[in-house]
Amino acid sequence: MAAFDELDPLSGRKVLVENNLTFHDVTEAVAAPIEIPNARWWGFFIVSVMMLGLLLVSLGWLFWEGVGIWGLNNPVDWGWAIVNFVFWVGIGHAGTLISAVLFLFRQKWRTSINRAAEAMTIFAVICALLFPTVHTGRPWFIYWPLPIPNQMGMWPNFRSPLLWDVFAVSTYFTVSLLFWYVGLIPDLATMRDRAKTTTRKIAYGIFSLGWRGSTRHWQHYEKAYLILAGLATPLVLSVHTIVSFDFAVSQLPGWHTTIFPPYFVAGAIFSGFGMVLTLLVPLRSWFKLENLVTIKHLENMAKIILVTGTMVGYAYGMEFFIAWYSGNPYEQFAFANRAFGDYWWAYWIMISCNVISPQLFWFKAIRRSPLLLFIISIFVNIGMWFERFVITVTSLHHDFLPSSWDYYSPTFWDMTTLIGSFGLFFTLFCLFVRFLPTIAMAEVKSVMPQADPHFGEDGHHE
Amino acid sequence: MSKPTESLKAYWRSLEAHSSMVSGAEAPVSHDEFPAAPTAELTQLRVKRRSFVGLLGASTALAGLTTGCLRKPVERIMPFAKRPEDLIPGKPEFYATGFQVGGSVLGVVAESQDGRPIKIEGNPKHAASQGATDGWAQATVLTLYDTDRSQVPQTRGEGGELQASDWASADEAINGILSGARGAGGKGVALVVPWVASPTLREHLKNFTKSFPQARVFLCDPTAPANATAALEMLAEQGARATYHLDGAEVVLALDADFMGDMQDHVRLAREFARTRSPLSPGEAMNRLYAVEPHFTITGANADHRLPLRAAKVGRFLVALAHELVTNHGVKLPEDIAGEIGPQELGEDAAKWVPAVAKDLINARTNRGKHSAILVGERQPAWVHGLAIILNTAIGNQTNSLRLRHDDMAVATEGVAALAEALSKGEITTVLCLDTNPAYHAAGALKMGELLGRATVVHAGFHVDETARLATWHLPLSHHLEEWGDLESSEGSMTVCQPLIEPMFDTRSAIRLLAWWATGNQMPSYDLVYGHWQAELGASFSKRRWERWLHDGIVTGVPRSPSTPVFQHFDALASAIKNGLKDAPQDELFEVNFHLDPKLADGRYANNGWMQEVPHPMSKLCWDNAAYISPATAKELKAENCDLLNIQIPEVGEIQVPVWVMPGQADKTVSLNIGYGREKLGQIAEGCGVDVSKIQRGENPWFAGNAGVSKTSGQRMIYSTQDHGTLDPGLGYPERPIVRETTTTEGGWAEPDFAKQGDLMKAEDLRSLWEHNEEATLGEPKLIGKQQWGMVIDLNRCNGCNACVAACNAENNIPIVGRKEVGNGREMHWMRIDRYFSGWDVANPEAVMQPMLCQHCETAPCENVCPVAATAHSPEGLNDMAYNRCIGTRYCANNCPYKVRRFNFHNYNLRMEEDMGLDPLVRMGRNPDVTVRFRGVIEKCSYCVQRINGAKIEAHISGRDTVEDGVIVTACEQVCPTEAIAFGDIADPSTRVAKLRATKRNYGVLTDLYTRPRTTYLGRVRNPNPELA
Repeated sequence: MAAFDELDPLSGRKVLVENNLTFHDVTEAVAAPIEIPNARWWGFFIVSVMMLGLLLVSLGWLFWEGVGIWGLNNPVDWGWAIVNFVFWVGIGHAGTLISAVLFLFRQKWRTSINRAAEAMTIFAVICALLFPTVHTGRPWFIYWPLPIPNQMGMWPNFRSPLLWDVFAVSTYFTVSLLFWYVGLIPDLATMRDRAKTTTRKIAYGIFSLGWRGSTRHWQHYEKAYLILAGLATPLVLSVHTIVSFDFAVSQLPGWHTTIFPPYFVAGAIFSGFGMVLTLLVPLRSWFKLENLVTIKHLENMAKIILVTGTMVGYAYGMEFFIAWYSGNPYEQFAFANRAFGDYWWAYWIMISCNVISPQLFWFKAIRRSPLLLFIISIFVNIGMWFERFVITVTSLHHDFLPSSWDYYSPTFWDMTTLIGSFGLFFTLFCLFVRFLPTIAMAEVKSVMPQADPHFGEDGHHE
Repeated sequence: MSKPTESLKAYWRSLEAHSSMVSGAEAPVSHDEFPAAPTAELTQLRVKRRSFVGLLGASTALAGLTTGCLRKPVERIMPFAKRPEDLIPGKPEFYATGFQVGGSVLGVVAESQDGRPIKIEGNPKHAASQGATDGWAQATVLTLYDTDRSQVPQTRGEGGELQASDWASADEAINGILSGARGAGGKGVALVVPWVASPTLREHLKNFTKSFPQARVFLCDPTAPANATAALEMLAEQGARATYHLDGAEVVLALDADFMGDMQDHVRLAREFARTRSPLSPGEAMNRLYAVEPHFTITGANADHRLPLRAAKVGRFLVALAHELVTNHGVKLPEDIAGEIGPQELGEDAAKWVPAVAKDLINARTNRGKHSAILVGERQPAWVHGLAIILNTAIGNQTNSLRLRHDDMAVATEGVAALAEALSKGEITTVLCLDTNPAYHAAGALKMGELLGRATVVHAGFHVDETARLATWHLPLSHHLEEWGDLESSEGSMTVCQPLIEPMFDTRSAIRLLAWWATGNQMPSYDLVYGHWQAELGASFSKRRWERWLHDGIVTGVPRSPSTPVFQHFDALASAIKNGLKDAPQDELFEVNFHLDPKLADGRYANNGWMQEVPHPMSKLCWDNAAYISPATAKELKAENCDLLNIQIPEVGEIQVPVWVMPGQADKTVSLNIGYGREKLGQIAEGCGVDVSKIQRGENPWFAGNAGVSKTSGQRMIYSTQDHGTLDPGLGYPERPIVRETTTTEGGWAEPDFAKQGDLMKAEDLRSLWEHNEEATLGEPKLIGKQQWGMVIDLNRCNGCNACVAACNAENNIPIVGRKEVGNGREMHWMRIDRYFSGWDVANPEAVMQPMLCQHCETAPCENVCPVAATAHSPEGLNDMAYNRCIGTRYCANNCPYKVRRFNFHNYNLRMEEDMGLDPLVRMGRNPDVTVRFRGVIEKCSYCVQRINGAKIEAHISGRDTVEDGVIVTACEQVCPTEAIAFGDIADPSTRVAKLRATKRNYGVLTDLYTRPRTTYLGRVRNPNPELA
């Protein structure tokens, strides 16, 4: 770890690629690990596939037996499935934020992390989409909320937030996938050109869409990228806003709050960056990408986590304030019950992980320590899962009529489904790091000093 | 006995398939085309499912060998090509019949769909049911379709195990036993009967005593009014009977008398009590109820004042009251008795009660045409009943709230204790048990099981139960909906009970069996019943009259017994009182109380899933019994819910029962419900609860003092459907005005507008989110129907008896989910009765009952959140549920503030059939007008939409565009003993429901959410005695 960041000789800002790598060095650094099989990768992949198998077994049993295999009961009709859904959608926020919003804001440091973050987004949204599908009582009719003309003359209910959710998440998924794919094209072409086996040649050849790197290609590519970034940016905000409507539009104390949209978006970014750190800290070390994903990158992400974590903490406080300020005693009870009721432990896990642990990022040494970053990112992931648990379950288990109140506890199958969803996520991520460039080579090269038209004019040519 | 459903399945397939199976079991090739006795063959088929399938395959294959080609067995379904007269497919038929549990007889109307009885309703013409029923009557339909029923006669085989036999062998063997006994004049023969309310059965009981003059008749029926009858017979003469009546009773004192729950005539008493219980405006007259009881019963929950008191002290309380009435109010008692009356040491609370109650009882008398009532429960010994009868008479309640009659046909019976004694002395060698189960019901101290093992037992019963397993012969009895019979209610209304269906199995009726035992001849029940009434009426009997009786369900024109009981043996009562007061109860030792179970009665509903799953009316426990103890006692024992309690009765035995802490239970007492812990009875009953009768004493089995109670190690998880008993869970939760109450004052109510005062939001402050939106699918539902349905539930009338919950189960095909799923919080009842405790005194809180069902909100929160519009509003204001459209997101259930939506987490209907072994019979009991729901869909109360639409179609056919008020009666409304539920058109101000909605007591629950519920409640008014307040 460098004690001081290298400075760009031209701009005087911190360099984004350290140790003065050349373009070729970057290509080698990124592409080589994809081309040479790696024992560590196999280890991770096999474990992930086993976890994926657990998911498939859990889902098989679920489809056979019904959602009764989970711990749901009468007041708590939404349990871990919805918690997991919101958790994964939240994680799926960072990628598009990094690639679209930071792109529009000309944050060049995004280039070395956006590919992995976007892949994470796609895979997280796949995991997220799984849950609302399988949590329904009759998943074989899951297409009914789609406005498909049918012989029954039935339209879905456009007043239902769940329907909005269907549109919001599927749109987000489509645009994110496109955005990711468009960004991949130049790199896929690089991989095609480097490919040695026929399969690779054909596969990369098909997906690189005949990219030859002509100026015309680059012009079209950059326009398309800009347009998609423009399209994706509002989606970053809208998708979690609409997910929060699932709760906010209902009338349950603890769900029915106007703060939910911004609070959910902040939380999503928070958890998304948490997960990016969880993935990139080991990845950069194992794939020897420290020069590309520098400490400075990690530090930037830590700062975003600190900001969004504090925002989330503010939202937690504000919920209590509004509950008190509203003068509605039942609203006040809902929040008192959160912090001091049957699920107090979940609430305080959430507070310690989400509000307290990111505050450590005020310290530069912590922000620049990959190990500590990794540990805290795990806390952030745990905390954000618990946030959704607290919101979903504690509001439901004590609602309006005390006669119906009950306690919810998960079952074995709840846990296997959650673990299995991580299996799905990591399997996809393992395949990604095995077959696709984990860092956007073309984009990184564009922010290297060498890409500057004035590079070398002062004679600093190497 | 192995599970006999395999043979059942065969029975329901075609006859061809059946005969090939049977022959497959014996001689595969030779088909006996015309089996001489097909029923007898059925009985021999006792194969396990696997071997059954194997045999089926083998016989089919062999059939193929003989015929040269393989064909599927021909199975035909038969439409009514020639329709039976007056039968329209799909249209239910109703038949008047009767129903009995112990001394309580109800006239009922049974609904039959295509020949299958599916639902019981009250017969409004019958004086004892007055159009209502209890939960037990509702559940009897499921008992009919119980697959664990005994289906064929069984006898003890070589190895001592019961083996299937047939009636021919049974007839022969039992005739042999009887002819031997007849020769000896019946010496050594015991006939054990339940409480007999059937005139025909009584005739044959008399015949039996004539044929076997030396035989002894014993009564074994925990639901029978044995103590009450003993008191009357002690005071007057054998055959003296009394009934309580609460019409016009201004002050009611219930002494350990759960007259709304399990006391004799509880349906009628609850209805009579409710008549003057529901003032619609301030100042309207209202009765007052005092309850003195050790255990918190629903009667106590509905009382204006309740005194938790040890059962042993209840009699003393009455003695103290009598003393107060004699000394301070000039009430005259017979000399013998007055001599035994004196002040009693009862404790501070009771001491306050005695003068106040005495004054109130006397005040009631001074009002013209008014009177009071002192009710004593069956659990109290005979002397307490006797004293209550004397006191009722002395304060002028006789002919008003206490009516006496004489039963000329009564046969003297002895108790089970006498049976035990006779058996142990060897005086009895042959025991004929007719629809009784002494091995289970007799108090554990009597060791009846062991004693019966020494005798020759012939058992006729509905199940192969504890006694059947000791019997030489077990004879299966028919269900009361399968056989002719008759019933006389306690106050003398008589009904001829019509069968609704042929006996489904090889069973016979109790009437037929007793007539056979008595006379040696076997006759069909119809001939016996018809013959009885023909003889009874003599010349005035006619076929036309008989048909009238059948049609109405009421037997008319039978002369009543001219004699009335005359009280003369006051000395006997006086000495009984003296004896009763002899041993002072020791307050520092535990008292153990035994109660009939509000769900399983004496255990007769143990294998009935509806009754197992319906929550206990006070504790809301399902599928289990518990040891109820007060919070203070729990603290003292350091016991919490589900901890095992060791209960030991000296010289009898000990059992371990899980604790349930019950506010309102008298301190240092334990209450146990009998009827549980039945082993090998059936799949439903297996593993439910603990058999507490093992520690009952022989003499006065209902309560025992000087018991040892301690916490022991271990737990047994028992499940309640309502975890939170109070409206105040702490954490600053302000009680929501869910239940609204006030009290009466001199000529009015403490808060005349209490119902409206509970509204958290003013009506004008509530705004619809949708009112600006004219678009039909986005705005408020357009309530353009001519009639607008609504319901009003009167919290003053509702006593929480569960009849509506059971009726809803039956009407709407609600599945049973089982013990484990109730533990998971997934019971499916569309209607539940919420019970809340109130008041600061945990030792003696007040309790309220609130039936909760879909409120059919006009702006229903469930509707707008469903992504597929599976739940939507009808123009007539119903919140409709389209099961076929539902994909099961459960969002509606989350957004329902009343939590009345139920989700099929599993395929509960399939589980009922397969896992609970109710296949295929349970399907016969399903209501074809209501969809049977699949897994993964939400369901909820529909206001019995099938009944609404049925009535609308009828109205349409007769050319009207509206349904008249009172034509549509929902299932819950129909059975309600207290008429607490009214359903109808709220748009028409002349309907009952509209009038009730306009009263001062009307309010809606959670209206501050602007749900605009169509179900509203009439707030509760309590009528406390200012002197006790």
